[in-house]
Amino acid sequence: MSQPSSPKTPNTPKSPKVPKVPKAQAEPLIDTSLEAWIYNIRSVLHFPSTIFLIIGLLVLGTFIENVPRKVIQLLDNFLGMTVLFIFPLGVSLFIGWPAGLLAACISLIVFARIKKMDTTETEDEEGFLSGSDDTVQTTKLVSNPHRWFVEQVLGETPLAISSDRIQTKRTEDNDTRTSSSSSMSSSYTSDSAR
Amino acid sequence: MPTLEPTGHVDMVLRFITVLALLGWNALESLSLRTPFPGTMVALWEYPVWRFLLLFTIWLGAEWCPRVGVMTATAVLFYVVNMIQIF
Repeated sequence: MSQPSSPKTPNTPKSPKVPKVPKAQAEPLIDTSLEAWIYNIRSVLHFPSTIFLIIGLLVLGTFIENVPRKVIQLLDNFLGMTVLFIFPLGVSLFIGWPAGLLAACISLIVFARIKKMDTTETEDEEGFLSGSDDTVQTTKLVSNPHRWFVEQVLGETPLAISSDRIQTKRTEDNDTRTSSSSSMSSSYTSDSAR
Repeated sequence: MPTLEPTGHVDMVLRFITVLALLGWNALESLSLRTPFPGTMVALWEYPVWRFLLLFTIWLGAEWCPRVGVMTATAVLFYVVNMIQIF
């Protein structure tokens, strides 16, 4: 059964007539106050500041291994640690949550680097000179697939060697009886002269 | 601004799979001291482009979904700290 089609009528109620506004009044008013100026600047610069900050954080996190120790040591105090913790909070407040998360990761990476420097400085192997003056890490990846006998026995599969060069100290002898004129004098100690 | 709620079914499934995969990676690989990282990942640490991409993934994941961002940040952070200790 088909009903006779009725002409379409709009369901919306009739809107009241809006009085025409003169052109001079229709133009938006420009707020020239200082607060509006600051808000405008912030909204305009928000996007570039976010981009620059994220690129800077990414570059910093990428090359954190190459930062000299003296620069990292500047943060190894109460003030530096405070900055490392407050910086992500500030970024998340003023820039955004994702950038704050990235800043927090970078801060933790810097923190790990500081802690690693502390542990390497305290590790003083007896008889060996620690290379604390080196600013470049000497860790090398193991490229040779053949394992040493000791590695096979112990079941170790090392991926990298932290230091393949060891500097040893010469045994100092305070005994005045040994002669310093001979080249073999270092092998003659007081024990061997018994 | 990242949204907590997915925008559709595909987005919801993708978020769930990603979070689940990262959760498994963090539980079985990052947090476990007995399982070392794959040799390829250790070898790739020398390349700055790899480190840049890893950190970029954190920001990208956080822009997509907060849960994905947190899980990605955890995984990347454990890997980076381990590599810093090794190298």
